[in-house]
Amino acid sequence: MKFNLKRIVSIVILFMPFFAFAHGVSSSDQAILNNGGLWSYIYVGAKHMLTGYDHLLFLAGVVFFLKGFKDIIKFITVFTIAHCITLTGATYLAINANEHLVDAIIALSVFYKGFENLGGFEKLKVKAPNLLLMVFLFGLIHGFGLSTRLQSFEIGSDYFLMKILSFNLGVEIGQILALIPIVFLITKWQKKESYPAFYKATNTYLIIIGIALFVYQLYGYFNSHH
Amino acid sequence: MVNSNEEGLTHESNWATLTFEVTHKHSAETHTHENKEEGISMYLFILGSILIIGILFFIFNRKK
Repeated sequence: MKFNLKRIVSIVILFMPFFAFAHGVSSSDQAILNNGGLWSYIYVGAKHMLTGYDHLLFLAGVVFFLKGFKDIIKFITVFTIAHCITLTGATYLAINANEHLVDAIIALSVFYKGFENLGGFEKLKVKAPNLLLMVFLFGLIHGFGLSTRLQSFEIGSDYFLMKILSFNLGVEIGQILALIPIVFLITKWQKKESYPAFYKATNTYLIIIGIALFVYQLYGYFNSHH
Repeated sequence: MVNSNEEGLTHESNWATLTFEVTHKHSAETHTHENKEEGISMYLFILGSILIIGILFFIFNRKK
């Protein structure tokens, strides 16, 4: 597949306004956490995963690459273990970083998956890194992104660990809820004649959206007070 | 100024021309209005994504 740079850049620019306000911490979520106990952390965690499209786009890219349900379970488990480590660990130890920079790396993970799925490494005559290892590494970064988001809420010191674990549980519930339609759609379409076009279209989209999100996060970083 | 028995009101002007509520606060703890912009952008993001994938699918399917 030829990458038409002009076309990709114009789509990226066209798509920029859609990112506004997405993925942010809303005052309504803060109010829910203030008043709802541990259940509210499960709810906000699930909501964040379902509306945090960069995590889902990366997962969709991973699922695209895999053949068979066993493989899907294996890779999703590795991704889950990795993001649990950084989500729980970084939040508990109050390790933080600029959220725009973390989200920019997460955007690169989306780009990476689309690029790999379209055989980008083969075209460059470079051996692709081990996917399981890359999913683990990107899982750590995604977990850190979730942690910076959780840390931007006022969560207080009471039941601190339980609140983190509840948020983490919510993230996993959200992930399962999101993966069901993604896996269903991809596995059903694999049997159709139009699958190669669908595969190319979706992974080209992952490349475009990965670049767009990366540019957007860098723009946010350089235009925010940090 | 007198107390009001009317639902949703706490005080009423003696002149019965001015009524208002004084319990609604705008501090970080109490302000709970939904962020409508967030919902709209998510909706736009999904629509935009479907549109782009649809266009690309159309292009690649025709090339085939």
